[in-house]
Amino acid sequence: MFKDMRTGTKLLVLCGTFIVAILVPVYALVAEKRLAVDFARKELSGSRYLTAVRAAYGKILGADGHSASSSVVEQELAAAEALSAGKFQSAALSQSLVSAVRDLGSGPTASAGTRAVEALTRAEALASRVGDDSNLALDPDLDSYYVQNIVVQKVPTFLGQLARLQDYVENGITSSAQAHSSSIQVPIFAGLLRSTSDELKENAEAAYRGNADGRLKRAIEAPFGKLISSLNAYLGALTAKAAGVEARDGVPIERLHKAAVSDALSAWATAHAELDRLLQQRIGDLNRKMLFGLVLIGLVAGLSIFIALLTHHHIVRPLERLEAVALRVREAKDYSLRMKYGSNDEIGRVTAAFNDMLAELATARNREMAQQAELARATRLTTMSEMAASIAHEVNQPLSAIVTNGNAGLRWLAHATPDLNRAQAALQRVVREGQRASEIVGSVRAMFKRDTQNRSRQNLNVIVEESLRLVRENLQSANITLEATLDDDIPEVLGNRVQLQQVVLNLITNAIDAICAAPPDRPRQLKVKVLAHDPSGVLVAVEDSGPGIAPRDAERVFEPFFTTKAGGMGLGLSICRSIVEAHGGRLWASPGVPHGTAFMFTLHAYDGSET
Amino acid sequence: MPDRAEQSVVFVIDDDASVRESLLDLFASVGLHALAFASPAEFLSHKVSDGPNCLVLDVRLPGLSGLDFQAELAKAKVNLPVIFITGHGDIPMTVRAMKAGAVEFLTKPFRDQDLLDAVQRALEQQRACQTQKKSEADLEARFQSLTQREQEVMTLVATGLMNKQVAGELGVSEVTVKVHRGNAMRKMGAITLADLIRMSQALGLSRRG
Repeated sequence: MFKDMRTGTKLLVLCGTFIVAILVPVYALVAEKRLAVDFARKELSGSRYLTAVRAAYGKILGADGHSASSSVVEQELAAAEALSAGKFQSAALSQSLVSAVRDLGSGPTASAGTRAVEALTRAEALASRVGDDSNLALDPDLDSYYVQNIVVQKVPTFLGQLARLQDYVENGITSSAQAHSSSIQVPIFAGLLRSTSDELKENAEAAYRGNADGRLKRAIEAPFGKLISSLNAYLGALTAKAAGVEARDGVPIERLHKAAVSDALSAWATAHAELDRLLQQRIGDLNRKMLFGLVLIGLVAGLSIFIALLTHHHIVRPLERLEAVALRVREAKDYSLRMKYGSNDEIGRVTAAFNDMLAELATARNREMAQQAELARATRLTTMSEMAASIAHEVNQPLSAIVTNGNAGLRWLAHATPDLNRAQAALQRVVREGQRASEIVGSVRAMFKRDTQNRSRQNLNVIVEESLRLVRENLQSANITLEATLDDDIPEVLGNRVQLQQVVLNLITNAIDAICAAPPDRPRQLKVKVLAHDPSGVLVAVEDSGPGIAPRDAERVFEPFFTTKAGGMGLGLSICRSIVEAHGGRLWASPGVPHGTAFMFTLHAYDGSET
Repeated sequence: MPDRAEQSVVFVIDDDASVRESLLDLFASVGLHALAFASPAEFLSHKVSDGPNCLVLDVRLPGLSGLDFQAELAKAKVNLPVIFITGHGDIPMTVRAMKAGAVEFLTKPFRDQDLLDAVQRALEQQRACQTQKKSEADLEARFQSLTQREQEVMTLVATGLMNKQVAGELGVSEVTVKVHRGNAMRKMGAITLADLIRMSQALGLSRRG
């Protein structure tokens, strides 16, 4: 089945399978990238949720510049929850955070710090839950992983610990019952904070290592440095206070705490922004890579298809042209057609071989046609000369009998006693045979008159052209210029094709013989005309530049056995006239201009009747 | 030998009745016996006598052409001189006919004397041929009438041996040889020894011996 397909279809099938083969990795690529992008998008949505949580932190901690009204925080959290569409299973946590934030402003002032710590715990839990469920905790890149760790875990922890410490410090100062333990509690909290800040630092360092372009370090190093230093200042002040040493510069612990919280929130915001940036960058990178991969595959596929088209163009098109040329050669028999080609591949070689074959065919065909033409010419001429020989033989028989009878009669008379009876009988036979000879000559004419059953409509132009083709070689070898004037608007005539052709051929061969017999200084010219003739008929004129006919012979040339040629039988023109007259036409000769002879014959146009 | 001349017949084969008629009359006017046929087939169905005959043959005939018929006759070893007449002869045709042994090749209309001369020549040729054939046949018949011993003696004598040598060769007496030789000469009609030797040569006896 495949082998019967057109080559174009085969190439199409090849292209199809190729495209299918390409589509599989394209799908894999797109699916993989989309998976990664979706992953990053989910992270991004988690990060967006965290923005609301961060706002809640700002509200809880009451930091300058980070604070907002509790209703705004509520709205943001609600919006974030709505946006997450329950993907993070954070609704309950969010709700509890909201209620905690609402509770901040109510209740006794003394327990405000404790309520804030509670709210922070809930916020931390929410941030952690969001981080876990939004894939942030599973982040695959080194830099963004550590940054998210900072954003989701470490900074909230840090802020919680900071708040707890401050709460403890505040309550510890106000509550004497706990004062005894402050010397132990403060270093513990301080140690925790330091450990958390160390973790922050380590995470940041790890993130820097994972960040190739170094932008991350530039963006968050300064705020985190500031955070560390303000933490150190705060913790230093606390330690000093715990040791009972009042700070020399007199900065209150409260302000140091606020500065640390503010720095933490700033650092957090910066880190958060960086996280968003990294995620966006990742998504952009993934999309770019996917696009690049698609473009690359598309280009390769396009190139392959282009090559397939090129192959089609270089194989199928030449083959089609080859086929078309072969078809035209076969139909039109025009062996001069050649196919152009420019390549040196198999197609080019096939084309070259095809052209060579055509050339050989053309040669062979020309040879064959020449042979056929020669044969046809020989056949036509032989028919004429054979007919002449046959007529000669027919006429010769009675002539021979006449002579023999005459001689026999003479011998009977020459006997010692002349046998008159036998001599008389011989003479009677002489008379009889003479009449018979005359009848034979008459019957030759009658023969052409009788032969009317093979008549059909003929175009004399066709007959003349065919005759001229038959003698073309003779004309060339005799160096005779031919001037043929064939009027296209001639009517058809009713006639016997072979006989009419014999007439034309005979006139032309006579003309050639005459031209060859002319003095060498004369132009060797043969004029053949076919014209419409008044009133309704066709005139065919064959004019030679030969020696011409003496006026007294002008009619005699048509007599049987009259010839001006050395080897002539003297029957050609006689038969021609018989044929033309049998066709109801006229054949005559007139002197040529300026010299030579013009033989002309006319035939009536075919008027539809059969006679 | 006038009786033989009367036996000789001129056969004419021509498809044209007028030509046949005129030829028969011409031959009759010079006293030649002639028979005419329209085709070779018609001629072959006729009983041909032994006498010195000849054939006047038209080249152009229905069916087998004259030239082909001549070849047929030669193939069948029929010894019949042929004179061709034709209405339209050419050189190759003439050459072919003459090569195949034709006596004459005449183009119609021919001079009557040419034809009659050719016929005479053909008949003479045939007659001479037949005479020679007849004497050869006679000689052979006479030789066959000898006894075997007489043939042996004659053969040996013809090779030039003397009676005594012949006797030695055959293991018989010289007298016996003389008797056989005398009988052989008488039966063969040889008057002298030279006659006998000439006859032996004609018979080709030296070869046989």
